[in-house]
This record gives sequence, C-alpha cells and structure tokens, in this order.
Amino acid sequence: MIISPDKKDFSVILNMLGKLILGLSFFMLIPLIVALFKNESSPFYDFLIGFSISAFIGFGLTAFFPIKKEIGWVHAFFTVSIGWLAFSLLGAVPLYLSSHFRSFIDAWFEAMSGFATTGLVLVQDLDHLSYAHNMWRHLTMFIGGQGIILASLSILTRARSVALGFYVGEARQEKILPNVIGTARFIWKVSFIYMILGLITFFIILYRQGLKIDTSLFHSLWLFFAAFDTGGFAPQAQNIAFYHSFPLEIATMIFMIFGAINFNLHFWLWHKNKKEIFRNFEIRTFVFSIIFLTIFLYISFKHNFSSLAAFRQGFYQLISAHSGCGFSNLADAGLNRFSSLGLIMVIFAMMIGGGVCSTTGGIKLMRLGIIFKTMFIEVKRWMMPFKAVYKDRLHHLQELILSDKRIKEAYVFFFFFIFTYIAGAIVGIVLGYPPLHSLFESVSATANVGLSAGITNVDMPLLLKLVYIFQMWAGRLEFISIFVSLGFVISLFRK
Amino acid sequence: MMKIFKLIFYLGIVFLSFNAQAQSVSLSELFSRVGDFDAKEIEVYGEVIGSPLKSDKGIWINISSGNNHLGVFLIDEKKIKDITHWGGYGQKGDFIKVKGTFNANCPLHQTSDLHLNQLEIISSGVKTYDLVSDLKRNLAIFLLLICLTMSLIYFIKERHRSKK
Repeated sequence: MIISPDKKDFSVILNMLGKLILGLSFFMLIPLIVALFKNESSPFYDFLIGFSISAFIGFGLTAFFPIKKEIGWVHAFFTVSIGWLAFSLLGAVPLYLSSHFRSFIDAWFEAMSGFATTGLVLVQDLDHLSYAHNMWRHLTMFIGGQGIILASLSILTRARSVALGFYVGEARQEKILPNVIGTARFIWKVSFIYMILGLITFFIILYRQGLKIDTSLFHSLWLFFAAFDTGGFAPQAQNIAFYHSFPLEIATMIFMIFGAINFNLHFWLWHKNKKEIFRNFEIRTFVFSIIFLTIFLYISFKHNFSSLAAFRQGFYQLISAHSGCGFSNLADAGLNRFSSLGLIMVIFAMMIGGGVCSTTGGIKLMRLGIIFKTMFIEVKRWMMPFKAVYKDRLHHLQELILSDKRIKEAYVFFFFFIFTYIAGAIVGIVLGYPPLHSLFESVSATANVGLSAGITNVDMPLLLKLVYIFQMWAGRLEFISIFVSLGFVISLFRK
Repeated sequence: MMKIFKLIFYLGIVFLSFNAQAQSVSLSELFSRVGDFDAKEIEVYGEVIGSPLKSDKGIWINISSGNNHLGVFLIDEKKIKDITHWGGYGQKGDFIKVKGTFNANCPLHQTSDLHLNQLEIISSGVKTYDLVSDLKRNLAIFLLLICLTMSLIYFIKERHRSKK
C-alpha cells in the first residue's frame, strides 16, 4: 500500500523545507561578507537580495506550516528532493543578478551544477567575476558536497527520529557511527581537517607562484572546495590550466581522490585499522579500474604524446573523471583532441565514480565491484556440483556476505544510471550533436563530473539545459528520493 | 633588362621575408586548427588576465579573447614590465599582441602554449567602476525589510506555540 499524503504531511514537508532554506540563507551571508571585505558594492546588493528572499521564504514556511504530525521517512525523502530544487533556484538569484549569465535558466544551471557538485559551467566572462560570486559558486559545491541536509541534521534536533531518512535521501547509504547525527558531525569534522590541510598545501603552491596573499588564500579555499567536494569549478575560465603548475595538479589529484573515498573508510583509517586501505573492496575496485582505464588511455595517446604529457593530460583527466571532480588542466579544445578511444575511457571513468558515502556521483565502486563479483560467482556456480551451496564474501571494513539483497540493490542502481546516461545522450543526438560527445556530456551531468566535450555552452538548446539540470539533480540524489516523491505526488491524484 | 631582373629578385626577397613573418591568427582560429599552427611563429591578440605566475624557468601569463584562452611562457621578466592592468573583477586588462612559437603539445610544459618572443601593448586596460543601480539598491532594502517583518512574525508565532 502506498501512503497517500494529506494536508498535515505537506505542512511537515514545508516546515522542514523552510528550515533548510533558512540555513541556506545564512550561507549567503558568507559571500556578502566577502563583498564587504573586497569592496564589491554591486555583488553586496546581489547577495543582500538573495539572502532576503531566501530568509523570507524560510521564515514564512516555518511560521505558517507547523509540524502537526510525526516526521516520517516519506517526508524526509520529499523534503530532500524538492529541497535541492529550491536551493538551486534560490542559489541562482545572486548569480543571475551578477550580469554574468544570459538568462535565469543559465544561472539556475550553474547553481544546480554547484549544489550537485557537477562543475559544468554556463557563466560568461568568468575571469571578470567578483570574489563574492566566486565564493558563492564554490560554496555551493561545499554545501552540496557535504550535504545541505547533512549540515542541518547536525544542528536540528526535532528531525532526529528520521535522520536516517534524510541521510539516505541524499544518496548516502552507510552510517559511520551508530547514530546518524554523529555520522553527520564526523563527516563535517573530517572535512574541516582536510580543509585546513588543503588550504595550507594550495596556499604554499599559489603564493610561491607569485599570487598576492589574499588571492592565494581565496583561490586555495575555492580549489579545496572544488577538489575535495569533487565539484570541479575554478575561479578562472581555464580551470586548472590557468595556473600552469605541475605541483598544483598533483595536489588537486590527491584531494580529488580523498573526496572520492568513502567517508566510512576515512573513519576506519583514522580511528581503527590503517591496513584497511589495502583490503578494502572499494579501493581494490578503484585500483583495478584505474589500471584498466589507464592502459587503454595510454594506448590511445601513444603516437601523439610523451609519457609526461600523457600523464599530465591523460591521467589527470582520468582521475578527475573517476573521482567525479571535473577539474581540467587542458588548454582550450583539449578534450576534443582526445581520440575516440581516449574519450571512451574517460566516459567509463565518469560512469563509475568513487566510493559510496562520498561526494562523488555515478554508479559507485562498490556497486560495480559487486556486479563483477556476481558474474564470477555465476561462472563458479556452473563449475560446482549441482547441490553445492556457495556464498561469496567481500571485505568492506569487515567481512560481508554478498547477499541477494546487496546484489539486487547494485543492479537496480546500475540500471538507473545506465538508463539516464543513455536517455540524456539520445536527447543530445536528437538535437544534432555527435553521438560520442552527447554520451560524454550526458554521463558528465548525471555522474556529477563536470568535464565537457564542448556541448555545454550558453548557446546550447534550452531543452538540453533543462535535461542536464534534471540529470544533475537526479544523479546527485541517486533517483530514489525523487521516485518516492513522484509516487507521493501521483498518490494525490489517485485519491 | 638587367634592371627588371634585379627588381623581380628584390620583390621576391621582400615577398619571401613577408611570408616568413609571424602569421597573425585569432585565438578561436588557433584552437580550431591547432595542428596547422604547431611549431610555427604566430602572433595573437588578447586581454591579459589574472596575474603573472612564476615557474621554475620563467613566467606564465594568460591571455583571453573572451571565449578562448592561451598560456604564454616567457623567460625575460622585463617583457611584461609595461603591463599595468591585469584583467579581473573591476578591471579590464591590457590588450596585448604576443608574438612567438606556438606549441600544440609543448615538450617542455606538456600543454598547448606560446613561447614568447615579442610583446606589444595595443591598448591599456581600464578600471571598470562597480556601479549599483538605484533599482537594485531600493529592491535590496525593500526585500530586507520584508524579510525582517517575516522573521518577526516567525518569532512571535514560535513564542506563542511554546507557551501552548
């Protein structure tokens, strides 16, 4: 039986949504302070408008829609789904006011790309964008990557009973600590420690390159947000290529990989067993996948590039794609110079993504590993005696039996992602783009990567912009909370 | 007759030297036909953006035409001493002409770049003033007031609920 919502259910949802929007409005005060600090008067008013609208809606929803019912999982799922839409729409307001976007849809695209930690851009003349707006663009990735809901979870008290609903709704399947609020706080703690490490590392590199102290500091912070939250925005139009720095490329690669690792594994490595890194199923899948993809990428490069060039141009893009970050150190038209085989390898890397319970998108290493393992199991079964009972295991923090439930779950998500990748590609092809590039862009949007083969630009058709916005949203939430919400809405019409 | 031969000879030399000069190309054309300009002397125009970036053996500057960008590598720091405006927020950078060897795949830097021979400032950049329209200012104040009113309603309602 599907639970059909009533007025009280909507009141609960709107109340929780109001609280989250209120939280978002306070985040807008950060770029507002930056605008004050950097004497940027027009951006200051952009963020004052953005803050006022968000806070008005947040206060209004919370005041006029009280919680009259116990908060349940369905409420949490629905709040998460519409929450991300609301955040991206409200987050787009100050961006649109900057005059660096041709339309509000473009600003919405950029905001969704930030919150979903994708990194596809439609901003125009990025090199002249204010510090305040750049701070907001990068902050959206940090907020989205860490999870807006997760942020609120660590603060809110009333929603504790359904904290897990919010957590799962945001596409995080593993709890680290027995209680979800504790898990949320741990994720924040880890992120802040890495932030300090990232800030110091990037600052030293950029300051040594001759950037001013404040510029180095801002760029370091933004690059950290983009790398660790696997977002891929950068403050300059050339992305990482702007800096022409090999040390920076290495440092960003390290933080991209950190961001792609399961937070659960971070916890294990910090507090329990450091040897887990060598035994972990996800890490093993990652290493296998990287080796496989790198070999084929190097084959595609062999005639045109030296080994070092292949590393800087090929391997960097591969790590960026696999971690779902989307940083690029290629000069203009760089990806278009990759052969078809090279592009296919990058597409595969994007499709897979990083660990579950990380900031990356895509199918995820755990699910891919399980799918491959079940294939081998099936072959083994056929080779065994008819009556033999065979149970396979995998090591992920502890020994786990590969149950039918896990296998089914892996296949379901695999199907959702593959279907969305292909559907987006078909839209691109129908609109006249080359098939391989259409697939590339569709995968990049759905898996929240942000690398572009050139389709994403201000002149692309409106329909494609909307399709990519949907793909970024659905990919970030891993479909389930969106489907639950759709079911929730459909059940209204069945009453 | 000899004079005519001499004239043709000199014209030929002038023609050849003209062809040997750097080819002027736009950044969009350069990146749409990268292979055609590889290892050739070219000259490109663009706005200088960001700031100069030091590297082990030289300095990098970046130029932009709006949609396309190019990294320019130089060894002699003096060549950029006349650049006064670097493009960024509130500032349009100097518009420059750079002449040098373009590398589609630079063996030294593993990227597409231009190794600078000559730099010329075509026009100086300008400060762009950060003007706020009255409409934006008034709208911001109006929305802030509405927001404060709503927050007041919220706190009154919350107080009322907690009393219940």
